[in-house]
Amino acid sequence: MSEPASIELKAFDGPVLVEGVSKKFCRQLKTSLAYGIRDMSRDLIGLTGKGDTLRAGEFWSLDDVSFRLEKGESMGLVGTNGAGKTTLLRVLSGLFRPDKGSVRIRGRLAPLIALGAGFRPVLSGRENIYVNLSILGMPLQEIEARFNDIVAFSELEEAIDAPLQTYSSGMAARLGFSCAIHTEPDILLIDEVLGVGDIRFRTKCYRRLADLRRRGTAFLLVSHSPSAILASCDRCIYLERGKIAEMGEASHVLRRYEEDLRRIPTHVPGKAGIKAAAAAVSADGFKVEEIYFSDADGKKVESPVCGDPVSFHIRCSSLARFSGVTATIIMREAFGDLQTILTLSSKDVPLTLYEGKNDIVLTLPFLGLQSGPYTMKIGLTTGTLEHIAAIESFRFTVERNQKTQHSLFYQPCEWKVTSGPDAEVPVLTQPAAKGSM
Amino acid sequence: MSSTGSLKEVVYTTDPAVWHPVALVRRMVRESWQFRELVRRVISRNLRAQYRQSLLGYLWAFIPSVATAVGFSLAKDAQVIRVGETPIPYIAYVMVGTVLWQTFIDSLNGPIDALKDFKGILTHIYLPPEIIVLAKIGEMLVQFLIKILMLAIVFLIYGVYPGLLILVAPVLLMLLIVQATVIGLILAPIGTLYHDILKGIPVVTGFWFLLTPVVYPVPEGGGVFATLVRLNPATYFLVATREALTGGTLSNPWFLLAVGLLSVIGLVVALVAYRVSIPFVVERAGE
Repeated sequence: MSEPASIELKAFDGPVLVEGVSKKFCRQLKTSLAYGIRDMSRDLIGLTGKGDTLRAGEFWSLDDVSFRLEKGESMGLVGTNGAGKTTLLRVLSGLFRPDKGSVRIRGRLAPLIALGAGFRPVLSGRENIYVNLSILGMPLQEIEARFNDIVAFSELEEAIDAPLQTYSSGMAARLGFSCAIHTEPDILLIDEVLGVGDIRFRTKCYRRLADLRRRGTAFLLVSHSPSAILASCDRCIYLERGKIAEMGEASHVLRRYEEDLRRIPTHVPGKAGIKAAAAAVSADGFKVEEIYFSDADGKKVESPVCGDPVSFHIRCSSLARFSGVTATIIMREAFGDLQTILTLSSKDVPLTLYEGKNDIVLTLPFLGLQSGPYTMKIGLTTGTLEHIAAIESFRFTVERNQKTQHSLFYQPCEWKVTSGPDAEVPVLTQPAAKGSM
Repeated sequence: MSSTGSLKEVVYTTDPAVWHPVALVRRMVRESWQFRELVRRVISRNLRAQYRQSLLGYLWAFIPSVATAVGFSLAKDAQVIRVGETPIPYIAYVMVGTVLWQTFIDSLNGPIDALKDFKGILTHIYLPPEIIVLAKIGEMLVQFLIKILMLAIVFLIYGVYPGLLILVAPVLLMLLIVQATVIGLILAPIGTLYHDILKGIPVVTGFWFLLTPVVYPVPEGGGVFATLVRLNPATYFLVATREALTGGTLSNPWFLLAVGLLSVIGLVVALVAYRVSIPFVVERAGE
């Protein structure tokens, strides 16, 4: 909005320059409203607010963030939920005013944040293109000049006159994406939207983005998928609680980010014994009393160690006898896509649970899971697939093992050299080394 | 646009925007022009949407006025209420009055409604917030044009013939809309934060209606009521527009000119204030 002298002195030719930007918020609605009215009135009469200090109930959503984006540069942005990624994008878009610092934007900035802003289901695809582009600030002649390209790119020629409500969500997203990139922006803010359409269209989107980049468009790409960032960004910013924890070469920053994700403590209640009753759903007269890990010596452990022998115990008490019980354990990543990593089932070894106390033990000679947080889903079913007990989510952390690095999982293995006249001809080859990442 | 001309640069700092009024106003003008297509679309969309699902369509712009006029006419004929002499038949007089009053109230609510409509977009994409208000003003004008066509029919029926003053009627009406919009612009940001304002508006406007010479002529004399009516800012342009439309004479042209000028300056100031205030609202608008 204005150009104070202090930053005019610094050279600025790139499309984005962010200097010491901080933004604070208040979680309490009533307090936030009161602060809002106060700040608004101070601002209107030209008093500078006390932007640099926190008032009661406030926290820094962004804290002293500085970076610059050069022409044609592509920057990734990662961080856990609430780290300030969205706030940063909104400050850059001009939706939020910084409380400290300054942002300079040169050129046309297009947000690929809310794809298809203002899309109305009752209007046709054709009309929605006009609505969307006018919201992005494009005059009529320019919309008309681009119209055919937009339709062609979205591959919706046949459906363009049908109302948007008849489109699949993928089709609507294609239309939105197509509109956004045809604004010929100098800066593109992309927030997790490249999950649109099928893989073929996605590839086309990436190609188009690469095209724009060659022509000098700068990108800021927010994604939870490290591979998406690695594929299209040279540099990356890692935000943690509003601060830049790391910035630099993308693969380096992502490594640090992933390491930190693994370190985030999962809530592991109790000491060695792990109560799980809270989340357990059980049949009448059946109770899961405790679930826990134990090490090779049979001692309870809070976090099993990658590569070590470990046993998993489900202690339960029952008022009846159940035979032909199947225990199923599904382990998932605690973050990201909650991808299933491992499923273990006792289907082939039907278990029998007796009246009184039972201890179901699953023994793993080596724990193959890589270090990090996981969640486990546990189910006990009878032969007729009746649930006896189900535990939706039991969280645990696997501890790091110095031997296993750069691997997705732990692979027990053995190295050996045979030589000389006594060399045995191996009957079976040894298992290969660790799976590579 | 990157392809044409030099790149526009925008700077966001912690400086209150009012420290750089020229830059601010210049940016507002530039962006209002840039977003002209959106303004046009919003006007036509709102007009069409208002009457899409109705059989009587645009007649609804006029039906409330007819109902009010008939009601007051009956009450007057039955001598339940007593109003002074009106220069044109009472029923037509009330119709003109309520049409203008409705325009005043709609304009007052305009900035608030616009903010409600666009909250979802404003929290995700940058839009110069003043353009949604400009669209509302445009919508009010077009709606009034529809109403005036119907008023013309009423005038024919009751033999009301406007004089030359009808030429200034659009200007006076514009000022009426401007004046109401200024009030709305001040209330909108606060009202979006604290809903008390929104709840209070119908209460206040109900009372305000009684103090505005909509269904009665401007009272003579110096009683408390007459003074209140004359001090009421809604009175000036409402009465003046009605006089211009119905072949009367403007009672106080210089005064109107002064208030008109103030209103226009007020609009510029209020638009700037509105623009400055909206980020504070957007930050707290939630998802």
